[in-house]
Amino acid sequence: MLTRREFIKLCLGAGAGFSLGSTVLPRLAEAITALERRPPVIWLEVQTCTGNFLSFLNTLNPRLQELIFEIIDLRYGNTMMAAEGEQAIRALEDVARDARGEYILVVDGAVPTKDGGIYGAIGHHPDGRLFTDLEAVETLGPGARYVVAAGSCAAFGGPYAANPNPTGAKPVSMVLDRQVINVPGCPIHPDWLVATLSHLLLYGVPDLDPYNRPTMIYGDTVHDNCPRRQYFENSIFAAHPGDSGCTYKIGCKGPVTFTDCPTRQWSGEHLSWPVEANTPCIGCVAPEFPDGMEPFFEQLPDVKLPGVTVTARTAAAVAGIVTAGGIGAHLVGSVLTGRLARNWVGKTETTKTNPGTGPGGEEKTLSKREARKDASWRGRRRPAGKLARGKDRNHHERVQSEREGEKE
Amino acid sequence: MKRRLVLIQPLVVRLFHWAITAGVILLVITGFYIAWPTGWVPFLNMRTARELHFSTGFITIFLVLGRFYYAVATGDYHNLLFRLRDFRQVPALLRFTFFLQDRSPDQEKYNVGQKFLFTSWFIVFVLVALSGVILYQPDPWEVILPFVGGLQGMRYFQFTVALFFALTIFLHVYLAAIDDPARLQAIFTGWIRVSSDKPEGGERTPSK
Ligand code: SF4
Ligand code: SF4
Repeated sequence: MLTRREFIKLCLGAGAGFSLGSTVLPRLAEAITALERRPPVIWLEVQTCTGNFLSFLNTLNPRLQELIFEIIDLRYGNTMMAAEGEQAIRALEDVARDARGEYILVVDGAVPTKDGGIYGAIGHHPDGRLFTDLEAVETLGPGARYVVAAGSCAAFGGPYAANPNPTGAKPVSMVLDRQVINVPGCPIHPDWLVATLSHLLLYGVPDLDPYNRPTMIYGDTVHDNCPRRQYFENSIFAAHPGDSGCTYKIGCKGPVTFTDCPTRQWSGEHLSWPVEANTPCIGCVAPEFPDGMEPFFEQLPDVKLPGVTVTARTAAAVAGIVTAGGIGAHLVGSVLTGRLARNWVGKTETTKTNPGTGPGGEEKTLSKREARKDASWRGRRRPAGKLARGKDRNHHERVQSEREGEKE
Repeated sequence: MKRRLVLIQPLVVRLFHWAITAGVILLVITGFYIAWPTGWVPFLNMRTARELHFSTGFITIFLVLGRFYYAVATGDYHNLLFRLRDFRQVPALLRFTFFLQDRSPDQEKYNVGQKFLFTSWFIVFVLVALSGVILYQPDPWEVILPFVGGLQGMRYFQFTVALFFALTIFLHVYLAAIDDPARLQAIFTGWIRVSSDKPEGGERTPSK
């Protein structure tokens, strides 16, 4: 029997050589024979574009056919099942009742919760009532052995929960009061789900990160394993999508995104991935996706203020201009009111000598030599009164009295 | 009249001031380069910028810790800490800044505006240092990542803070230069030249 450690190593090894089929399938078969029946699975599509399911169909090793006929018992799946209408709903109710505590609930999509959840429904109850997505998740969640949120919408809300989120979409974990294993991706890589399901069947719940994502998949950042890392370190950047080079300057979110795309590659054939196709990673598996990862072609999120949204670059420029403008205006004010003259041309002496609390405060008088130098420096100064203008009317008198003081 | 000099910036304070200044400026420049790597900083590439940024960051953390210890041990923190009662002086300071009154309000070692800046710098520095440590090595911190907006949130915070420091450093230098060049001089030499025998506000602030 493949140990859990070996299994995880296999998943981490990934890449073109990743082969659940050759190594894991016989073990899965053994485990399932021991179970006497294949584990029932409900694949519930709620508010989703179906992208995750379509991506999942691309699994090659194991093939979909092997997966659903030999490994799992797919009892309900909105896109795949032949049944429809009342028959489909009845099949769902049957499995929820007969396999309670046994079935794995895979939720694909975010759950619309606004107005009692009326913005998304899987069908109607036999009495004609709307069977909302919210109700489906709330009813099926508690009876499941495991709940897996497949794709970024189910895991974190994703595009459906993005601003302004008109349907009040929420991730599954915010609807159910139980552990939800998040397998995000937009869409999900077939291996990510197959590896998670296999781990659940063979060894139970895998190690999860604080976002409840399996660490065997979401352990390192994209950037950590990116083949273009040398370009990054040497500042060789792509200026446009399509250019070769590190895509950081055109918005790559690889440095803040935890998953294994560079080593696993997409999709069933493990052929390529975005950066290899000269386009940036947009951080689709991150909980902040998509709002926090936009604009996709900028490194930093936009600055959102009431009524205005600007890029971080523009915000920095505006803040710089406002500060420079403020300083400039103050400088002009200081010249016009004579403050500049009083402070700079008048003297570099002060009457405010409070040294505060703590060390300091020692005093000394100038040595004769220093005093001579000081006097000659003071003699060379322009008369401060000439430059003093504006409100500082007392300035001239003060300078005069100082001079008199000096003569004494 | 005898001209007097008063030591208002002891050597230790000046050394900390300039070392931390150098550290923060280097952090801001390398930080902006890391955010927008362009040719505007010659001889810099990502690797060098990041190495410089991280090493300067750690050195500056220790410098700030040292300065903090010095401030607490010597009572100097009274000069730097903005307290609630300082709000009372804010209107007068604003009137002075906007040329509505001629005399700057009475102050202790620093005016309330400067104290506000120093206190906010310290708080922001502590937070940005933490976010920097998280970005440097995220693994041990993964438990708190969901509460701080993830790595992208940390990155955004760093950017905001870099902007804050870049702009307030200019403001600090400008205000110090325009309002009291004698004090500006003291941060280089330590000493301030006093123009009267009994200067106003010249009593030492009693230790609290
Ligand atoms: S392309 Fe993206 S992930 Fe790859 S090195 Fe550049 S920034 Fe990192
Ligand atoms: S490269 Fe980035 S955006 Fe693309 S699938 Fe991987 S994590 Fe998602």
